[in-house]
Amino acid sequence: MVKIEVLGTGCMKCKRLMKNVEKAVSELGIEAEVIKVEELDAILDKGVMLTPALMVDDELKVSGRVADVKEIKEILGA
Amino acid sequence: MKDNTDNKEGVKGKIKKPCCAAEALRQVRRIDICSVPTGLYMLDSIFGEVSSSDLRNEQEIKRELLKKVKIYNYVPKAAEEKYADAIFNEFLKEMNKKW
Repeated sequence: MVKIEVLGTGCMKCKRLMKNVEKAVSELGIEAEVIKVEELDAILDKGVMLTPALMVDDELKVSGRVADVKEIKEILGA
Repeated sequence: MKDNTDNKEGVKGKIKKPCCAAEALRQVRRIDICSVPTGLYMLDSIFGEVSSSDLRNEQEIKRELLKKVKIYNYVPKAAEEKYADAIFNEFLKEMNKKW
């Protein structure tokens, strides 16, 4: 199972990234655990300085921007 | 060292300072990719990280640069190779300046 973490304190961009992740996962039909990380300390502990951010299996894939569904599908499909 | 960041001039000709640490990190650097000026976030920081790694092989460096650039910037899949070449050339220029 893929572990996907969406890091962000809850602003509009973070919510958009979360929605895109959910859509990408459902379109790919993969089994994934999607976790929302909203606590600032937890975000900084992961070494992320720019939110929203996306981590897949503990690897930082996107930071400081909202990746669209197509890009997330590419990341998850790789 | 020459400042290549894309700072805009503020009121009365003063350089506009970043409003916070995140904004400072986010500063854009412009490079030509296939003769198209393209703004890339976090390039200076990425160059620093890659130069301090022990990668020596050209292909490995290109792969690592592209992987890190893709975290902060959208890179169209069809143009990945062109991005990698352009970023690598910029990286070499930067390294030559330092040495």
